[in-house]
Amino acid sequence: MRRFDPEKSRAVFIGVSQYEHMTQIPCIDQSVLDLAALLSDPRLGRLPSSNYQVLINPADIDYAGDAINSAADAAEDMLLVYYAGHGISGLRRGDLYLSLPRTRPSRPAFTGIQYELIREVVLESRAEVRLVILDCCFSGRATIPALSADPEAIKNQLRIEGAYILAASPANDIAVAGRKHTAFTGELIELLYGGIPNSDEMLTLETIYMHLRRRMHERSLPEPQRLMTASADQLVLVPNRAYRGEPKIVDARSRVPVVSAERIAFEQAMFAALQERQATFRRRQRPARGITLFPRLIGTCNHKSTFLSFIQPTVERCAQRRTH
Amino acid sequence: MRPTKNALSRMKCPLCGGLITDWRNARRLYWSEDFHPVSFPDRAPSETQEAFYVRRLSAFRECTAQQHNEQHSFSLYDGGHHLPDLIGDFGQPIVIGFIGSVAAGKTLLLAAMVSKLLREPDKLAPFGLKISSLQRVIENRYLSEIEPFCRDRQVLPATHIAGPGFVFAMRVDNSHSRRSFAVAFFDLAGETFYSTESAAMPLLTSASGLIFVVDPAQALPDLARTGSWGRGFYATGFAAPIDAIRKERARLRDPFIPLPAVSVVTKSDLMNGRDDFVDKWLSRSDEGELAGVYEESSDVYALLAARDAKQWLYPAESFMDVTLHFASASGVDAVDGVFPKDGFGSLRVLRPLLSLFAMIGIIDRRILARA
Repeated sequence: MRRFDPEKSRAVFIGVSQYEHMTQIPCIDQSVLDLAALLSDPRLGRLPSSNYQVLINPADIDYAGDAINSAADAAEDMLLVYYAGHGISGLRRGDLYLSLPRTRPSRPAFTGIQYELIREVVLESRAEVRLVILDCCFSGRATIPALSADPEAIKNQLRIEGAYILAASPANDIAVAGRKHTAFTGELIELLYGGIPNSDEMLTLETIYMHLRRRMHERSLPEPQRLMTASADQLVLVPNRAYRGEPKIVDARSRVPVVSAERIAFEQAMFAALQERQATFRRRQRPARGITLFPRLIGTCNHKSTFLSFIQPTVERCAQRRTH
Repeated sequence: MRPTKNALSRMKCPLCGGLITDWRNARRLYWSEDFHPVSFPDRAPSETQEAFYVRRLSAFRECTAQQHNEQHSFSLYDGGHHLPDLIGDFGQPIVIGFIGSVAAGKTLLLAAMVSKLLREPDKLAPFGLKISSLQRVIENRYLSEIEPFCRDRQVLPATHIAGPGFVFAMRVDNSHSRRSFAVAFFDLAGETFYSTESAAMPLLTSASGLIFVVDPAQALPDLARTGSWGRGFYATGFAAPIDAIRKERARLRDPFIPLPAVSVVTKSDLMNGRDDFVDKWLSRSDEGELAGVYEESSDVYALLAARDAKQWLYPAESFMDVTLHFASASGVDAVDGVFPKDGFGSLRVLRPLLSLFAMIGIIDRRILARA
């Protein structure tokens, strides 16, 4: 577990709320601004204002692409790319397009940003940890590892360490907008700002994801998805504001009424006495001495009727032989 | 596998408790595809014993018990009262019943036991036991009923009050004693155990062994980690069946009922981390062993007695042969009708059954004496 170095980190926050050919999502503006403010808060993310960019409704792909490229080049410790807007799914499994204000839903490849481009830029960055947060429909597609016919390519993809992709919705599900924030970013902001009670002093990416997922599930909202490679999950994003000193080890036993050792010993002695009486009764129940001559029947002779039922077939066969 | 030639002519019906006087000549049937009883073809001279045995795995016979009481019938199908054809081939069938209050976990415990028996036969190998089919229709129907629990981790629906009772049957071969047994299990709704006049009583009184299920959420509300029941006094569901069994199976002056029984504190995972006894036994991986059975029994007895749950010890104080156990059919508590994936799996469910087998005589009882 380690905190990112704000001086050596870069972040790009992209939000698209106004569209020419799709429905508007007004809450995105506030979502992007609040999340950026939270990560630049000196008490939380501590990101200097020179190290992050906020792009609200970027006009074209060049503008957004430049911001992501320059951040990827400059980042040494953490690179964060956040996008909120309409997500458009492609025909192939894993195809995802991030929309811009003039994106046409029927032609996303030429008017939007193909997520694959962002993925390549981010993975080529020399940053120690590369974090992508997508708050859009079908964003879970970004968490599906790209398929390749070449097994080496898949191996190389998995070898890239320090990447963490957090998506607002499953690959085939929509993301939900809210009044002030989008549902996903709203929960994320609330979690980062309010902290997690009874948790560690610092909030790692994995802790955040697990709680986010639980909260979204409780509200019957699409469950966030994540894709990570080794070590990225232990990066601390912000300190836990709900942390109150060392976590108290709550001993569940303390709530259970105590029973004295003497009482336990007494009850065990009672059980031993009961067993002795049962054994005496069992010995009395043995039907006949001769039965022990048949070792295979030992255990079936606890009761006379049980014993007789076991030997009944043999007795009947003998009787039949006699009659013949 | 060659069939045994021990077919009984007189047999106590495991469903109604009545005496079948001519079982050997009872009419064999099988169920047609549209569920009509059809006469079962006899063995042709060219048919081998083995092939005939395999065919008989699908056959039934009608119960012709003279003492059969229509009001007390627990038939497998409407209008009939039928038993697996092979059930009388291995001596008097061993009938094992589950007794407990409503929602105690009887059905899940049986499902977990059957699942374990079929999936992990290596656990039975040290005792020389081998499980095989006794009646395919009953087996397939039961396995399809418990599939949602075993495969999809779903909570099984409550057992129907007018259910068939006799739910699963199997053949158990003991290679050590070279004996085979027909073992049948019945599972009844908890509601049927609150009255001695219940229609289930004949079934209970003719049982060869009983499994009493103790729900810690009801018996030990202070200890169990659940909010579903809370504090209160709950009927155990043990008193009426035990009184009925005592009336039928024991003489007046007998201090104990001469019948083996086990008492299982199921859902023990709810108490994990809250009691030393529970922690001690749940942490052991002794599923397929009988070592320490009496020590475990002593601990369960002490736990229940010391925490004012003595009414749940009525079976332990009523039967001649009793062991007590900690177990859990699911390993975790269900959330919204589904058991979470993390931690799902039965814990120590086979041990009570093995102990009961030893007390009945399916396993050499001396193993239990050494435990």
